[in-house]
Amino acid sequence: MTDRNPLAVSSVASVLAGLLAIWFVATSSLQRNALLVAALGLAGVGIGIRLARYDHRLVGAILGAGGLGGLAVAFSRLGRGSLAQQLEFYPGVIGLLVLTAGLAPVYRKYERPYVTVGTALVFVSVVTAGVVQSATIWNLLAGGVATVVAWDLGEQAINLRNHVGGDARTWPVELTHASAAAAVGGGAMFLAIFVENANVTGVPLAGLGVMLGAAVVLTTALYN
Amino acid sequence: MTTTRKTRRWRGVIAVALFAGAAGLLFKRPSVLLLSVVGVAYAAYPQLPTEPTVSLDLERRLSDEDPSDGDEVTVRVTVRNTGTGILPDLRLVDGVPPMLSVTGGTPRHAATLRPGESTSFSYTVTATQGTHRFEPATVIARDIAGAAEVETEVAAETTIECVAEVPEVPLRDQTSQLVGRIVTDQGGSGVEFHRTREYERGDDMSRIDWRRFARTGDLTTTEYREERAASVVLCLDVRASAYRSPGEGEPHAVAHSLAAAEQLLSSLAETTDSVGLASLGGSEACWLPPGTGRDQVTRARKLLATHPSLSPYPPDEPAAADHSSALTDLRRRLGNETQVVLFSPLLDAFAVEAAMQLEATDHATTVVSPDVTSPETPGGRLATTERANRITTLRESGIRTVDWDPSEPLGTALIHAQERWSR
Repeated sequence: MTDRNPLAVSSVASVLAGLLAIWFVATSSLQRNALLVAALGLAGVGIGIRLARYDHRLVGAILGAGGLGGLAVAFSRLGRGSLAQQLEFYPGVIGLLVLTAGLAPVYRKYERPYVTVGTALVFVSVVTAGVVQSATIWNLLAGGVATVVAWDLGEQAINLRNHVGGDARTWPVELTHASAAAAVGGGAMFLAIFVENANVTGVPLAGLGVMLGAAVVLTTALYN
Repeated sequence: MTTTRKTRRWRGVIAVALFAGAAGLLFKRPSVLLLSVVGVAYAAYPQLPTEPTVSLDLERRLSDEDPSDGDEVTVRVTVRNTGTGILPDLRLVDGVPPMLSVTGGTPRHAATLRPGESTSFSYTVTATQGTHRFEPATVIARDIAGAAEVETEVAAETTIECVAEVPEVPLRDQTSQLVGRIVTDQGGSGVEFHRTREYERGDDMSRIDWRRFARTGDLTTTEYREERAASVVLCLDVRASAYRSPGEGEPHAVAHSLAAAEQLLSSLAETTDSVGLASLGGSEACWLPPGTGRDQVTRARKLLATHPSLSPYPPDEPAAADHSSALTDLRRRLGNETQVVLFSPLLDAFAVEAAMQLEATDHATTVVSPDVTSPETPGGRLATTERANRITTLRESGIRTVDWDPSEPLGTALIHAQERWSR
């Protein structure tokens, strides 16, 4: 029977990129320790759902339950942290759970919405870290890039599966695609740092906002 | 046909830029505002790569081109990028013949191909009776960002011939004037004794019964049964109602009919009988007048493999389509001495009506009916009963009917039918 699940390589890489995004912006040791526990929990959830999809329901359910337990432990650890740390951590990890569930997949019909919502929540964490000023500009940008890469790889895991199925040898295409997306992210980071070094942060914020707004409008226009 | 389209998959990333920009302005955080640069860069990313130019060469290698029914055949597909640009995201689905099921590996593949580079993949199909022509492979090439995709087809002529031999085709007595293999009830030259009669002027000296002349003094002539050739049209019922299969993924009745027609064609090609081809229903009438010779057989085989009416896909016709005119056209085309072998699953009354009309208009008709009914459901059991009733009706009308279970070789069904007819 044809494997109809999102492709494994891109799915795993997507969740790892999402984890990396949170890792970049959740810089305190409390957050990072909790994130490691959450990562184990996410692995349990993802592998558990996938095993259940392959008809290993009992093992899958045990792993999934263990994974959710791990996530609960991670969440409880953050209970001791500050509000800012919690605001950085919770949306992102919930987003990672949604992303993992989407790619596992928990519900085949809504794989894409799961990936979009999951990565959007991860991005909320990244922006929150910027707002509470807990992360350096490099970390912030790296978190943003990792979030977009997580979405790109998650979507690629679905659309490539849709075309060739899960049984075909797809990893070279997946790796090529992932490398290119990461390379563009690297370029975007250097562009942002260049903008910062151009001392544009000294100009009124509204002016900078208008400039970036114009760039957004321009790129939007390119789509039409 | 090549289609190019934009996937627009990166449109959502604009929201990233807007969200970061709005948050940066709202909370007066330049660093967050800078984050929108990432969104802008990714929004611009799809505009950077050029649309992929697809130029591919496809080759298929079969482990066995003439397998027996049920044999596994490994298909190795090699695709080479003959263009000048890199294809970073190439997705390929091979055109497996519709009647062959893939039993190992997958006919789908993905690869990154530089100019001149090739990639290969293999899969296994299980051969079923008939001639199976591979369809063009469907190729989707995306640029590196996945923003634009080109969909096209790459063809390579590949055919799996799985033709089982059948014993002598049981034809009816209706013959042409040409000498052939069918022993008639008419006296003349031949090998099987027919009768003796009084000598007539002009009778061949070799056929005079000289012993009787010596004994009685009467001149008598011995007659033998004349052996003549038949003119046969293999007619396939390809109306939409014939495209039924016993279960999902199993070949439908038209596929079995095509395989059976192919086998009978091969068998008739070795005789002096004329053979032609016709369709009953379908998108356009298929008609090949009866003829003999290698060219005729080649033409018939080509029609069986390529004629749109004999497609493995059902015609787009209304459920209550009227095929009476098609039957009238067929009767008009058939010559006076042509007999018909009608391949039909007998899933509706029209097939019976067609056979009876052909028989009534002096075209001796034999029906070969692949059984695609399945008694597993109440509806299936009803269809099985109705089909059995139709076969009884045909037999009572003097129309020879071969009830063929496609899981058995056609030859076996023909032998059983001949045994029944000879009783």
